[in-house]
Amino acid sequence: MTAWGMVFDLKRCIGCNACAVACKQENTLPKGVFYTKTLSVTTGVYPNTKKTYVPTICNHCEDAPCQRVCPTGATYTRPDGIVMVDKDKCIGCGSCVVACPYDVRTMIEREHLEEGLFGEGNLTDFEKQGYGRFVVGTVTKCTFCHERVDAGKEPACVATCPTNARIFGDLDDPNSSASKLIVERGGKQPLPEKGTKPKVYYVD
Amino acid sequence: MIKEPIQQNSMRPGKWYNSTCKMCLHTCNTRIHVSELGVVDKIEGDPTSPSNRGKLCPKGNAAIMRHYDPNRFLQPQKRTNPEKGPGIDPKWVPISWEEALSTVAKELKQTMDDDPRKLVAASTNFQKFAHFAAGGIWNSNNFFSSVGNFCGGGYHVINGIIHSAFAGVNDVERCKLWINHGGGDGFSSHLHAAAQAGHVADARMDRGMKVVVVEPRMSIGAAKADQWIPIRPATDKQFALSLCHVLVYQGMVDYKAMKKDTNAVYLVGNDGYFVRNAEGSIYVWDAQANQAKLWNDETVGDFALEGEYEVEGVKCRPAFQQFKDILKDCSPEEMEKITTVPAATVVQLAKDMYKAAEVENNATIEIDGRTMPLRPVGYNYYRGAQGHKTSAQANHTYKLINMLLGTIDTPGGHIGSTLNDGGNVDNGHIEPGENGMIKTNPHQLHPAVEFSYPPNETTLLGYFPVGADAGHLNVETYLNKEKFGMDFQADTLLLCHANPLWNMPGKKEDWYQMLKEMRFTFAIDILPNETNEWADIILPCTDPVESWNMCMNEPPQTEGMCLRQPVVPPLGDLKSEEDILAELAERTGQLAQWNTMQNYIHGFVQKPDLMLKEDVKYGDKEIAERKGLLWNDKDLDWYIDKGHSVTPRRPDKWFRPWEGLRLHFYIEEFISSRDKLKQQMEDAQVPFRDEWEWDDYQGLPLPTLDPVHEVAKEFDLYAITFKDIQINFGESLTNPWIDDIVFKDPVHTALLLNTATAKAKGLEHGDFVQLESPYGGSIYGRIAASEEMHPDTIGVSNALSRMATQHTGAKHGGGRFNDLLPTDLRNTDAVTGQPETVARVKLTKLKSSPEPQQKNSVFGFGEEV
Amino acid sequence: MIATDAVFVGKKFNIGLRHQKIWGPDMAISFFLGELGAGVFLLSLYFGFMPGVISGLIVTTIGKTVGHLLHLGRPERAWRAITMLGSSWLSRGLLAIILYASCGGLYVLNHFYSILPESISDLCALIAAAAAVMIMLYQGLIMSHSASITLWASGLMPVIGLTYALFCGSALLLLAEQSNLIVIEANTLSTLQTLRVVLLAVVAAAVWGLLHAAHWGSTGGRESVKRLLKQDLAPWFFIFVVVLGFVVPAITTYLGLMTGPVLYLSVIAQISGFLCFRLLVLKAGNYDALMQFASPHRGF
Repeated sequence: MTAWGMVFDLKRCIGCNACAVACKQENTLPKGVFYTKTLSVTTGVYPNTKKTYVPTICNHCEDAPCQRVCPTGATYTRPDGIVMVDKDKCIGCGSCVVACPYDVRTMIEREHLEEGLFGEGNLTDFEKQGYGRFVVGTVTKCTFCHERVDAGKEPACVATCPTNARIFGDLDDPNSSASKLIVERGGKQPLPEKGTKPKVYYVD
Repeated sequence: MIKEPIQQNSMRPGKWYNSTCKMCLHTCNTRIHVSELGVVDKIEGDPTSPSNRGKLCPKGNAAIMRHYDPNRFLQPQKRTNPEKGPGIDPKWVPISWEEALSTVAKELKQTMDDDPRKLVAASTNFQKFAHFAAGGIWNSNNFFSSVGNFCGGGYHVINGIIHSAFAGVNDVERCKLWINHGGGDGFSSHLHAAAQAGHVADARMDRGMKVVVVEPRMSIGAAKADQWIPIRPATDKQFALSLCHVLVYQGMVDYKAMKKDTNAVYLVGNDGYFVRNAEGSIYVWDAQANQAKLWNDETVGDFALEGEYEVEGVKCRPAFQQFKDILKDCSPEEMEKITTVPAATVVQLAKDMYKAAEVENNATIEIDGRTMPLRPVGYNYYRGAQGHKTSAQANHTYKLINMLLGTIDTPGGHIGSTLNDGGNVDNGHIEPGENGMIKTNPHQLHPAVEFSYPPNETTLLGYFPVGADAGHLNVETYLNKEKFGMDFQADTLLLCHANPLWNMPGKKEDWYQMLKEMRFTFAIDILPNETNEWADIILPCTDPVESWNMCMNEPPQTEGMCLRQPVVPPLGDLKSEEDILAELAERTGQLAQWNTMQNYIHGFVQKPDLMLKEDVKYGDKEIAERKGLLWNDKDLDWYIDKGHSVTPRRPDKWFRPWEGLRLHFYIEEFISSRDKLKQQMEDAQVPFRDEWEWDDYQGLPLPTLDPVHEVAKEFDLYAITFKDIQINFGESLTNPWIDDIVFKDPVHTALLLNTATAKAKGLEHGDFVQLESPYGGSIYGRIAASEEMHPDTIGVSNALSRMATQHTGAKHGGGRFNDLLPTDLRNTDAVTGQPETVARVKLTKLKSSPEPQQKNSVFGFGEEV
Repeated sequence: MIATDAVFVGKKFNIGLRHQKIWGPDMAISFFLGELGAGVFLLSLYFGFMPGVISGLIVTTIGKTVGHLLHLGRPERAWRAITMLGSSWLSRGLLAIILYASCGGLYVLNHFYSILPESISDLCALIAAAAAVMIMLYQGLIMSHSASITLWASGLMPVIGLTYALFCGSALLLLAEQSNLIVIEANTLSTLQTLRVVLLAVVAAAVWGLLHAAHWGSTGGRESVKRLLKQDLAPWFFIFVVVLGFVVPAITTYLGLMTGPVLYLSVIAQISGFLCFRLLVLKAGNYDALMQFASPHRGF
């Protein structure tokens, strides 16, 4: 069975957030809404400072707490492991938002779709074309670019990453680049103690 | 709103077009998707490009929001508010193209007939190279742009002298030890950021290439590097000299390369000139025969690099010896006092570099049947390291590090990369010069013009024999007319794809005065900005998804042509830049001149069939087609199908194209041009000749401190500015997608101050402070205490520097960093025109923000949790 | 900082803690009203105080319905919330509310109009009582059904809900008796007063236990507790939750001041403590940081 997952190579990542912008393009995301974003963390004291860039995304967990708490079944997992939100079933209770340890889910508000990227209600043709996928008062999040994946392509963030720091693949296939990377370089899941069995791994 | 089943833009029914990115000055290859509704809804990298291999940086990914910016100029505009000033509404009124063009043409003609020098042009489009010379259409050599502030001063001049190229970068495919000094290649900026980030990442990961970064701030490169060497700002030359000291005094030099490939063996007299015989041939010292011989004497047994000699009564030494003598005072211990870099670090780095260079193994490599030395170490540098007063000397030093290790243009090492190969189809950018050396080709962007007094150029271009890009001198000569003996003052401003008010150093009030007094200003542009809000007429042009172009700009290890094609009709009543310039040229009787200029700059003279006819107006499509044909005889249809003709650079042009000639270890040209200029100034009794910085001209670099170090003690901090990959080499700060990621990064929303320094000054994270420079400039901002900064420095991101108000959505920080910088001759490199880019500042704590924090303020958000 | 430190970063692109923001005062008040009403209902049912039964039914049903419909992004789809009984405590809770309101309502109706056989009426009462227990538990179960927010991720959350509700329910009954709204005979009154004190001890212990577990549970949990005990939320926590919520009722009971204005004040005090607890526990919730990817070295 396919189990789509992702690996982030922290040695490669330069924190440029091309991924975040590619995703915004791909998904017509409103201002301030991100399905993926790359963060940084600095430790140490000058001059022995260390800075790491850390991409983050929905982990499409195998034991997804968002799905567990959802009262309507709007949050569900596809057979290939992608955790989706059915925008027609979501009632906007927000249980999934507090249940997700990674804070990767966003409630779409009216202002998101009405103010526009340039503010004051000036929606561009791009936004007019694309905002229809969102329903105000429902939750949205990364779908591992399910439409691209179904067509055999990589997610937009993976495709654009200038340093090839994002690797997408079938974690149930030991020969996929993702699986091999996890094994060869000791992939670690984010916040494993939360018990969500994330399908996103980090190598450094 | 249209509800559709398909949600992802790249999967919508529509069409993909091959094109090229224009979000910075480099030319990564793209594919653009237009939906069936005619909406441009996805831009991706082109996977067939060996340059960026399907990748795009965040700027390239944000291009759609440039196209759909509601503030775009959609029709020619005329100013109706006679009052001009920052933030003053021009009260644009739409007019017809006919009225707009005829008005502009009339004004240009008037200026040209009156005194063409009065036209100053800010036209800086690296992807439309010929447009740099737009002022020349109307006989003006006056540039009102400071493309060279941070990039183009000494850097391009020295690249032109050492490599006969425009830029330089390490050989990413073979380098094993990559040093970045004050530059972000492969991490955040410079040559084809998206492409190079991928190649450098692969080199680090697949080949274990090590990276060392030298700079005052923990930039992206420093964060990823194997070693970050923090350094006090504006001491880069001294650091590099101390490296040279270790290499030379510990014998860690590629002596073979020195003797064979450079003029380090040429004898230099105490007057700075090579020792020549009566015919002008240069002498060397044959150490074996113990006598002077001519450089091309085949009996020379061993070229001496060291020693003191006397030839034909002239006391002299090989240039190498002269450098060794200079380096005596440049030990790591001595230089540590200036740079704060521990001596041991310098010594270790020198050792690491020498070891990596494989000099002792005499490593070689065969590429395309040609055996060459393999020197897998490169000392790369840019922006911050090159941007100081003694820029020529500093840039020269960085090249010397490479030259000592034999890495110049050598596999694995530091390679010169040519600018815009459409222009010269790289028939070979190396020409033999005199006495066996290569012919130098300094400043290919702004080559020298004839000396004149009174000066014919507002930038004193005639006073820079190697060419210069000293846009900041515009305000010096304008405001100090008598001192410089100017017999004219600029009164017409041409703005094309430029925003000089944003980037010119010096107090903005000075620039405002100049702009206010312009008789006529017009702008060819797509969006409002700080500068074009002063225009009288706006000529709106097509944007990069609405127009044609053919160019590959300043690529590192690839070459070729990249097509840009329109994928949607223009959003308004727009014309291409080419159409506009051709129209204006024709209406002012200058079309033949413009076409002749284009024939040379684009290189059409190499294939006469392609040459533009004198009396015909050519638009963007026609020019693009010709440039493609010029490169590889392929027409536009071929390019529309393939998108580009990008290939790896030809090895014979990339590696050691000067084989058999000698590189300029010693730059005698600086001495000779200095003396010639001095004589010219003396003959013309130029009033500021005693103020001219004659000491800047050196055949070899000296450890002299830049004047930025010699200011009053109260200005105790060094202020630096910086960009990162989201905002470099272009204007992306009003793009909502870029703003959405930039202003979430605390590096870009505050003044960065070392934590310990902040504490010592009694400052807390979040305090508002004012920064003042000794030159009268000041900005304010909020402090962020950081472990990522050298203790003597305060970092001001470029994200804080916008001031545009009219319909731009620009977020304001506390003022322009460049306001803190000097513009006087004392702080300008007399050789290259490079202005000082570090400011000494004194810091005063403020009780609160001096300005109300409005919605568009950078400091207005980011701190709430 | 060393690798184990984490700070609050809000929307910044830094690794760090983030406050929970989606469940605000409206959720807190709905939870509070739902639990309080159910507590009053259950005790009233047990001790046979009809006004308590009725007011408990009304407060819970209206408080939850109005509060949650206002909070939902798509209130018109609220009916869908009952779909996932197999996995979601929210669905189960909604079922409980429906059963509570319907069976409880029938029971009340029957009490006045005798429309049901006694066995059915008793069954209704039983179901309503069970539903009331569920209502007092399920909100805490939702909050602790994921390890996400450490402050909430404890088995003590549902215990706190249940015991707080009964604690305040018993106090309200004492208040109703003092106001002559209901009649409680002396033995029962004594039982109720004892029950109130016992529950006070249990709630206080459970709240302490919650904070203790959070403090040692994760960095985010520790920061939550810090906010409650030492930082911006501390004044509210100490004045309302601790002093008014526990100390005042304990002392007044100890001193035997169980009548008149003192009783009124002590009951109002403890209820304000309960409400404040609900508000604070939502506000203090936060998400943990991915500090595991920060370099662990100490800076030398």
